[in-house]
Amino acid sequence: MAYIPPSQQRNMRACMVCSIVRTNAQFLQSGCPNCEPFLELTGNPDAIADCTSQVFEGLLTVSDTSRSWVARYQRLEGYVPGVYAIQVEGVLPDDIVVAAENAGVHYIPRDGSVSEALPTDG
Amino acid sequence: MSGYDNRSGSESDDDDFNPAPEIDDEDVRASNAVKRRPAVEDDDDEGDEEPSAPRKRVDDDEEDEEEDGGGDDDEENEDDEEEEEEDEDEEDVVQRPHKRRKKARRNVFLDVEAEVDDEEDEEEEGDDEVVDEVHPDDLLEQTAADLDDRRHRELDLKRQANDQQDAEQIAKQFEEKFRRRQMQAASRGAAGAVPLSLPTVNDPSIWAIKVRPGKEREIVMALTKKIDDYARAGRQIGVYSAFERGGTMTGYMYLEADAKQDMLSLIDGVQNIFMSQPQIAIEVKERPDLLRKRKRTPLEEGKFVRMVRPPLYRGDLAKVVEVHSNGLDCTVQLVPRLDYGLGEDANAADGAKRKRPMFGRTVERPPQKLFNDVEARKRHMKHLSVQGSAGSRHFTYKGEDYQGGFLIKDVKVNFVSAENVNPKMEEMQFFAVTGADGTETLDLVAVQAAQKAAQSGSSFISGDNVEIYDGEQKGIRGTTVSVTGDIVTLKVLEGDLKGRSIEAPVKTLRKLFRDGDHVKVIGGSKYIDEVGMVTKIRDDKVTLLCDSTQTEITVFSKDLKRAADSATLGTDSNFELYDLVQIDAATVGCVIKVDREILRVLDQNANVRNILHTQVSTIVGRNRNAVATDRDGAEIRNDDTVKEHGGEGRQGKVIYIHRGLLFVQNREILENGGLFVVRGQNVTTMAAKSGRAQASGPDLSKLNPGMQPQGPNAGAMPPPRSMGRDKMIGKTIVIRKGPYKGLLGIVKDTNGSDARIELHTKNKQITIKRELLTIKDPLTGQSMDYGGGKFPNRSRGGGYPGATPNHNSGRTPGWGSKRDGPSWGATPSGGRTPGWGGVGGGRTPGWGGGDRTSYGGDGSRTAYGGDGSRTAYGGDGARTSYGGGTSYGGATTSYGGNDGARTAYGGGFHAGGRTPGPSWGGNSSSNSRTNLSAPTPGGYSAPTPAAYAPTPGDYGLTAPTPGPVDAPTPGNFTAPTPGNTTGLSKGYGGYGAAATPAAAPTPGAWAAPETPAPSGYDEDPRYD
Repeated sequence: MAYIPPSQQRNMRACMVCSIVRTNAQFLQSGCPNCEPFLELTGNPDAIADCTSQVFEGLLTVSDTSRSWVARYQRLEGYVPGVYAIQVEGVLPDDIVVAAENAGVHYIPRDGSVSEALPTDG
Repeated sequence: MSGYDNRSGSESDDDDFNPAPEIDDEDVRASNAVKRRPAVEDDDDEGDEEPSAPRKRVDDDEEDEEEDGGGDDDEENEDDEEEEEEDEDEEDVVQRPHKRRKKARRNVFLDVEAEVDDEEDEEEEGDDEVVDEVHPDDLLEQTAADLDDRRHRELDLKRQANDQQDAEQIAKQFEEKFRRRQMQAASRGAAGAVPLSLPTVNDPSIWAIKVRPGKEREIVMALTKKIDDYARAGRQIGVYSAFERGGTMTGYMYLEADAKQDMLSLIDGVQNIFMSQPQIAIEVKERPDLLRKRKRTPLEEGKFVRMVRPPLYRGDLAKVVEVHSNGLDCTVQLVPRLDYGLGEDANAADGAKRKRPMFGRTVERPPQKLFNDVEARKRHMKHLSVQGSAGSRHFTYKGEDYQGGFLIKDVKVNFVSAENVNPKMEEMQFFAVTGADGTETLDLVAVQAAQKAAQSGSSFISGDNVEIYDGEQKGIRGTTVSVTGDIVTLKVLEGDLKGRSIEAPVKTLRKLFRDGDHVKVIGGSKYIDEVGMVTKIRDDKVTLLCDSTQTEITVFSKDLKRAADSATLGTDSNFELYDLVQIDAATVGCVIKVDREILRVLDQNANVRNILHTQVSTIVGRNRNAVATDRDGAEIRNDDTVKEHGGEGRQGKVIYIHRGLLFVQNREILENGGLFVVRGQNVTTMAAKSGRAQASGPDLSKLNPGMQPQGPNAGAMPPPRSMGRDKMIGKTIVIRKGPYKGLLGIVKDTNGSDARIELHTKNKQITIKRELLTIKDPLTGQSMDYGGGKFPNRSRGGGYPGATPNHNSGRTPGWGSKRDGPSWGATPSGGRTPGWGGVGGGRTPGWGGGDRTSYGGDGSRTAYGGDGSRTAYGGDGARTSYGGGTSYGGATTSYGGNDGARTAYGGGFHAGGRTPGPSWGGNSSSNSRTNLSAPTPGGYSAPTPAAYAPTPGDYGLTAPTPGPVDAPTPGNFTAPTPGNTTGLSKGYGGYGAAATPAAAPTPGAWAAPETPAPSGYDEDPRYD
């Protein structure tokens, strides 16, 4: 499911909320496995265009989102195993952000615009 | 409670990030105890500052609760009272030991430790009160941050006091703390910063593996598949994640696994992974860096970017027209690279083949050029469609939109790069904005924005006065001490931190200027080298009034330096004001302004254009012979003053004439540097520069064949022009007129009709008219003609003195050199030359044999010296060569013999044979004899003819003709020796002396005319 053959890799898109990477067709067919409740991407090309991004960087495959530190650092805890992007460019429309917040998901842009690291004491 | 008041006061202070020192002072005053303990350094405070604020709040709550609780129970109340008492007591204590509290603060969550600590403190406090007198510096360093400690401290003390406090309460406290932490987290989340879990040693390890560059994503997918397979098969995977960082770490992948073996077994057999290369374990500390996100420089409308893709436009400058709301796409405006189908191969079999660019070969791209629909129509009409009307037409050509000549293209934001754009002026030309008045201006704001990205510390140098204009330390002024990358270390000059060195990032710094400073732009913009006065400063932008243009420009302060000098714009340009330059094949223009990169040019059609220096093909320059005719038919040349007929009636001086167009300059006109262009037909000539006859009409006589001189020889031949060095130079002269009348001198130099004379009488050079000179023979003092071969004079000059030996040596070489060198060589002595040739031929061997090197250069010399005469001669006689050398002496005596005997001679003659030949014969003999008998003529005449052939002696000399040499020598020697010496040495000397009279004649003789052969000879410059 998560595997995308090289021929399809040019159609990959990343969800701006959870950063999962799938092809356009996959999003259209089954939506985002993590964010579907509020993004409602299935069968909705416009929503896919708004909420997913073709511009992302760093491909990450996770087999266990709870044990992996990488997943934790990427705030992927509790998400399904699969392929994620490390950095996703794009701006989520405001109404979607509101929808996400209402759904109890705190949206943090994944485009590197927010500095996430704590000031470390060493 | 006083304590509370105090606390609340300090709490507000805590909110202030930079603790205010005054509070400290208060505290210091309030309790001396403070003095006892050195405060912890500020650094510690800053790190912990943020968390401490909320904590305090909670602490307060706790206390409240405690007090409330106390009210319920009598016992507790008592306790509480005690507590309070203690509190009050402690209040003092509390305020004292700041330092210790600081320590405690850090461990505020670790109760046990804190308590222990406090106990110790308590005890110590009593003991140490006096002992611990403290350095005054410590007081200074105390900050309000210390105060907030007080509360924790209080709390701790309280807790300590209630040592018996039941577990319930302790639990409550813990709960309290925990809640606080949650609150913190929540508030952070709201602010957008979620604490990320940093890796610990308990987390799985991460290894880096090497992979084939460019295949990272495929590998991730392959691993995904493999993980899926494992999971489906129920196998233990052991690898939690695998990721790549594309562009930043090409050729690497990272795997997160518990054990290395797990990782290895997973990647085993996956394509494109270099298993042979060792896997690198990443240290815990470095792991977060692997996932660091790179912040993209935000795109803004109007900003310039560089294209990354598609390859056709890679590296091209583009301007962002629009950034789409999703932040993923943007519309850029760029200069198309189109060939309009010209590069297409009509015979190409199929298009599919072309789709794939040839691997490893760079396809040549068409040059950047604005879209031209006419071009497009030629071949690709079918691809072209037009929308809009005349004013704002835009085209769709091959599926792309073109507007105003630009390609308007939607691209993904990652296809453009906003970093290191550094647009060049050439590129910017295309993006010039054409204003309503037709002037083209560049969008400088955008340029600056693009250039600002390139900001680095390099523009700061040690000693610059700078100010921090942004951030927490805003307003601090100082002097830069050092620059490391983008971090500048500066020494603060004023304020609280005076004298301290602090570091600041370059982007928060501006160079410090004040209004009215005279500054120079040293980089970063097109205004480089402009000088002006600062009129306004905003952030790091400085507005200055240019000295040169009296306009205000705004530049970044980093690009400025204080300057005392004035503007020297365009000094490095190849162009100068009012140069006539070739703009294109059919257009020329005159430079009316030289900027750094741009020339403002008034072209031949009277349009003003801004062109780049590089667009100018050549400087045409001024054509001296350019002529135009004015409306009256009079000719106009450069520098004539003309007046426009009709129109504005402008007048001015013609500086260039180009195909009937005049570039006229009038300094009273302000526009275009006082330059304007008119047709020659539209002006009348006011004044011709050199006072040429004006409007006299064409010279008809030139058109009338009857008036033309007939035949090729119609005109009298001009006198032959003497070329080269003035014959007069070196002559002895006497001055006929003027204050120097009668004085003798030597001509050192001539210039036109003047001659520069070195007087014999006193060491002085005077300039005097040539016609006032009479040339004298230095030997005889006789006046000479100054046409012919005076040259001898010269040589003789040396010889003159006439000591025989001297003479010889001195003179001969003179001769020799003279002859040989210039005379011969130069001598057209055409006739002679062959003779020479022959002679030479003959001679040479002679020479060689003669061995008289003497002859060659010195020939004369040596020969003459002891040598010549002596040995040489004797032997010589035999030897042809010698004769030649000797020719001199030889000439005299030997002649007879010479002539007769010497074949060489004969040969020589013959060779010379033609003209001179005969003369020779006669001459030689006669001459030589004469010489002998009467040296004079010989001397002179000899030379003369010799010059030409005639004088044997001469010949010998000059020509070393073997003939002469040969022959003469022997004879010469024998006989002459004695005479010779004199005679010979004289050759000249002898001549000079004896011959003098003869000498006089000689000149005549010399003069070409004399010689029969002369005509031919005459020409010979050889003497000159």
